[in-house]
Amino acid sequence: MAYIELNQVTKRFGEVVAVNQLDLSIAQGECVAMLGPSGCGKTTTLRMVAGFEDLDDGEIRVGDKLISSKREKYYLPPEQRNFGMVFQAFAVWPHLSVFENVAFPLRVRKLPKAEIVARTEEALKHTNLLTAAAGSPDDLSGGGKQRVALARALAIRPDVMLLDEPLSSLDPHFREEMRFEIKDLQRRFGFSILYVTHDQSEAMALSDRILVMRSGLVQQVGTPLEVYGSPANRFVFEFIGLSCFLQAGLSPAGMSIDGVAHPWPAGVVPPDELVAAGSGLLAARPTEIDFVSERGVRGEVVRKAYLGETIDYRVMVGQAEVRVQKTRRVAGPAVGEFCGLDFLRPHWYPVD
Amino acid sequence: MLFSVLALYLLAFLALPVGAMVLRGVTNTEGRFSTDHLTLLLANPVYLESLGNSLVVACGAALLAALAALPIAMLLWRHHVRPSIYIELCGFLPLFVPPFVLALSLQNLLGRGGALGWLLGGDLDPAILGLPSVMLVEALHYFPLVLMTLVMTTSASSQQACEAARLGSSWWRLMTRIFLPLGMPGLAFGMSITFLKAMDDLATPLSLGVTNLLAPQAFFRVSAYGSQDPLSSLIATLMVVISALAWLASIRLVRQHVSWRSGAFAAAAPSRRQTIVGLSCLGGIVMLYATLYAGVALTSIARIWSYTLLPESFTLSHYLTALGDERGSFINTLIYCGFAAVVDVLVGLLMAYAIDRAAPRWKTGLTWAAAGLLSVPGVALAIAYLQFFRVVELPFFNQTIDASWFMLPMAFSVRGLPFAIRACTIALQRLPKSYVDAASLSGGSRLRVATKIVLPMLAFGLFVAFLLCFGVAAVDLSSAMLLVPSETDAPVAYSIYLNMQSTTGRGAGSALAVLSIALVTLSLFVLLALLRPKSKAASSFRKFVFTAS
Amino acid sequence: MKGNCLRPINRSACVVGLLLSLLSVGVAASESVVVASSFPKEVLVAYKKAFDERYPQYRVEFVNFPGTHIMSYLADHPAGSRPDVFWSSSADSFRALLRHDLLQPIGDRHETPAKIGGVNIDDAQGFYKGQALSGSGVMWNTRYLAARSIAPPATWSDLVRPEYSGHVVMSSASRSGTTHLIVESILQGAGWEPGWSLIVQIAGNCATITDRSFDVPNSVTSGRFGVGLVVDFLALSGKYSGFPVDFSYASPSAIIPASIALVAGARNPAGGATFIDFALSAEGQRLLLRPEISRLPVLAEIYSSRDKPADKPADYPDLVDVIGSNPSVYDPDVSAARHLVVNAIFSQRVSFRHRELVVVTRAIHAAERLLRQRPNPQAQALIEQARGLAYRSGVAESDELMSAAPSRAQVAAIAGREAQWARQAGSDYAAAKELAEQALAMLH
Repeated sequence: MAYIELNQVTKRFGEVVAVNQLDLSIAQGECVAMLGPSGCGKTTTLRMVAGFEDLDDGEIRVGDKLISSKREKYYLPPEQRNFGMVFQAFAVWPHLSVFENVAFPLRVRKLPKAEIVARTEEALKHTNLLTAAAGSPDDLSGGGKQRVALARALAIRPDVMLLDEPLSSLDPHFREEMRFEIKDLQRRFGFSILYVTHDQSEAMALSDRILVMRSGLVQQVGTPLEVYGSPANRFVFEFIGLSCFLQAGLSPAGMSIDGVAHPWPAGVVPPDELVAAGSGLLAARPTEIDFVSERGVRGEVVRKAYLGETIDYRVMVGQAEVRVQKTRRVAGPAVGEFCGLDFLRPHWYPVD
Repeated sequence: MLFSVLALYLLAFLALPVGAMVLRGVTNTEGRFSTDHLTLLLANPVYLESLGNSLVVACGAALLAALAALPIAMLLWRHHVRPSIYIELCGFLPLFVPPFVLALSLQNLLGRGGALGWLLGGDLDPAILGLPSVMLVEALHYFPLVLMTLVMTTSASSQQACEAARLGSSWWRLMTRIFLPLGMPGLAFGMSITFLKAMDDLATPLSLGVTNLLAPQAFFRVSAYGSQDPLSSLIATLMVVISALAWLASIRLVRQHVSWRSGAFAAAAPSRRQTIVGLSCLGGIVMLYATLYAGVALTSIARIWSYTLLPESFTLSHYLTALGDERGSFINTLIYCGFAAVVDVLVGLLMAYAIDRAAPRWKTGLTWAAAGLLSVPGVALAIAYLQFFRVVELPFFNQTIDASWFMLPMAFSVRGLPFAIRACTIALQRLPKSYVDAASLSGGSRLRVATKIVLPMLAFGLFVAFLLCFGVAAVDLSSAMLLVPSETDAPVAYSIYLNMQSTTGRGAGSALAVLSIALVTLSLFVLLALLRPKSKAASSFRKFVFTAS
Repeated sequence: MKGNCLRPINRSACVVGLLLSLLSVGVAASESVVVASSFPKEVLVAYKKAFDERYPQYRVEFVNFPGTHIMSYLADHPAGSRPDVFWSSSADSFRALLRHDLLQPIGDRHETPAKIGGVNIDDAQGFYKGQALSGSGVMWNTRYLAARSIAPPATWSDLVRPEYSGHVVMSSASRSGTTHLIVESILQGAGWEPGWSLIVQIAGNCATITDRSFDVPNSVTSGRFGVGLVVDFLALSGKYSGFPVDFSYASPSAIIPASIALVAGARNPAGGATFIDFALSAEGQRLLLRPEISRLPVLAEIYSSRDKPADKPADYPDLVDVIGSNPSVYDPDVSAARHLVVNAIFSQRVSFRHRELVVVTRAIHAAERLLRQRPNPQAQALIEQARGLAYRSGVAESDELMSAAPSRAQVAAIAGREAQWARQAGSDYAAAKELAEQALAMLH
């Protein structure tokens, strides 16, 4: 059952369409990550859900309740939406103690004193902050501050948690820890998460579904596996995971790259419509390319770098560079050697 | 709504008066454009000479201060001496002490009447030297500012520079290749402030009997021929143009990126020898200034001091007079400067907000314009006000504006505005949008968010802005001398000037000067003590000088 | 931590509160009487204290500027927003104000005399009244002159002697009402050209031309300079406060009353009249004898009062002696008519050209010293020529500007002529220096 529903949500800033007719539904307890480069409209979408921005078109519902609609000129202010939100910059107020930071939303709601204390302490307990409650958030590390922000969002027992790049200001080793803590809290409290990030590994690890955006347009929505395994277009392919591309002229006999003809490698079956069109873009993951002695696309190894367990090769095919990653247990060609390449699970996209 | 008030303020107290003044200078009695006045101005060699002298004094003071500061800053930098924040703060004292006090002190020290001058025969009396002594006094007065801005910009990257120095570069090469480029923003800032202040200074040349400078000439014309005199408008316009050009030139240098990586310096703890070099260097400077101001300090406790090495009898009665009879001027200063500073903080906050939210293509222009306010000299602003508000009646008070003290705080506020905008911009930077969003998401009303979150987080920055504007206004003698409506309405700086003029008031004037210097120093240190627990006091203080413009 | 962070807020709140309360105090106070005066702070403070105490319903405020500028100030202010009282020793200013109908009569209820000896104290039409008398002269620092074995000067002409070179100090006529008076009385006493010659020669011996009158006695009492041209009270106040200075009335010197008048279009005429009554009363007159003021009261009884002998120093100048020994040749009408022109000439030839003037004077002195040892008629002629160029006004006494009534047109005309005078002064001094150096070379 869809819990949050965005229908044809559109936002313009002057001439620029920041979010274009976006549809998305999130189930209760589901975690959806919005992924994309900066300026793609993901944060704007989040701010529209939170209520900081009004819509230019479309509507947003939570449960069966309308919270924002252009057509009905309806707009529920952020403070009445009962959402928790965590910001990239923490937004923990330095002039209030950790306890007061967490208690602030409850005080604003004029809850009874005892309940404020109880709920604040509960939120602090779940974020391991009880011992730091009396101190100033300025004395905490970045991770600590982010936990205060989480606790503050938790204290109001939100239906939906909005996370705006919550981990990108943290040190790398904290990030992984916080990922698990967020996931843990979600399991315990059962809220839905809308998670904005530009880090694909974060999105993969945390979310049930990923929405990839670019220039205000949704590129693909799907489980992490779907998005990684079957990218809808070249952009999604390139944005998630390592990738390399070869633009080729196609014919039933083989393909030509920068004027040099190559026979079809064993694993490659080009889609008929691209062969008919005469050209196409071959996309592959570096780990899914094999060195073969015959019937491969010919190229010259120009660089070889040891990355611990794997070896990273750069192979020039005509003017294009192909990156290949193999475990160090497989003997590969040396620098300067010519080799053949076979593509294990190539994706084909039309040339732009 | 708020922004229209802002626009109204800028229009009424800056754009219109200054615009009208410029117009008066270039139109004839029928209101048509004419170069008659300009021809008249150029025909009189005294005005041309004044123009040249003003340029020489302002450039010379800036250059002298820089030449003195460069080797010392270089020495400190080579020895990794990072002066404590308190000493850095002392570098900013010149902004809050009027330079004519130094001129008078030097007259007491070097004139034939006493101290060194009595021993040496007194041909070093600054009043006898004339023009060069104005330059020297300004240079001496602003030297600590130039030195400290230079030290602050260079010491941030002292660690990396130290590595470079180890590579065996020659002294000269190090200076021109590394030290100067690093210190350029600080040097340019300090030099341009020196230039602008020296150009605008009225009390110092008058104390030294030097008349052939632009500011005194404009002042003379207004006081001899009235505020409607077109030649004074023209001289004032000239001062605005020169100052604006100087400011634009310096902005190009200041805008170079300075990075404040804290801790870069902390890595290298200075050795014993380095500490000694640094301390003796700074100690020497402190001693020098203590000596320079000894003239005023001695006068403030002298009963009779006439043609002897040291005063022949001492008394504390001058301090009693200063605290008793001059209590009014302290209260006046409190009122004018407080009023001006409150206006500054409100307007500054609004402008900082507007600049922050402005479209990028407007942003640079707005920032420059705000900083360019610095280049409206006090004398020019005062003349513009005298002309513009001559016939405007104040409601409720039943008197014209120029007969009341109302113009004074308004002029002070315009002069303090660039500093206010800077301070408020930094205050706003400490309150990112998400902090307010987080609060409004929490369910608070606008009022509640404003009082519980926004104000407390801004309060400190606004308080700093208030103090800064207060201090800048308190020494703004150039506009005060023209705009003070009556002696009873005089602020402290002007009272010092008036007292210093008379034989029996000299002691009280000096006592007043000593008291106000002590007061300024004290309040700067109190401010710092307040900053301290706020962590990174030093870096935010440094940031104040070099970012946001 | 929380308390710590809130501290600045409370403080700024305190500051704002304090300011607001101060502002309200400033607005609600007793009725103010505004007195425009060029007198030093000591005089004003003493009168303010005594008057405010005597008349608690009023509060005196002073507008301080040189007497020379009262005209431009009043012209800038419409009636109803002007100061109430004008109190100054600049007779020219009173005449100018009278001519422009800027004074109102103050009645004849005061005991002060209308005439003492040959000197008119009050205005004949009753618009302004003499409040104190002053004459001008030279003051010197006894220690300073003794250290250099220079004899104290007796009168103006002594000051042109070479041994005073660099030890004299005077103020600018256009910036100081009393200096203007000294200049004008020399001009009237000695004649236009001889007068200017004397003034410019004295200025050539000056170490500096100060911006305000008070700087002159100030630098003489402190011993920065040896001799100053001042009005008597500025010197006497230093002397009676214990400084090693002395004073001598010089000739020609005008004995001029410092007058007091009610301004037409005053904001508070009743308060102004009360202040004038106070200044002319015995109580107000007695204040003049204070050492830091040291002025000559016009009320004869103050001098002869036997009941308070300690009020007055033993060698305090006596009114009758001063008046008797200085027959006045001063015509205030002549002075008032050429006020702006005389100031402009002084500014352009002396104030703004002082450096050059000093150099010329030194060169002439050097040449003359040699000439006394080795007489040479040719060199003497050159020196005479140099003196003629350097020590002159450059403007004829009959110049049309001199008699024109001060007006906007005259100001504009003066501005045009000023440029010419400035160029003339520059070329005069350059030529005179050249001539003196030629003479010097000839004598070597």
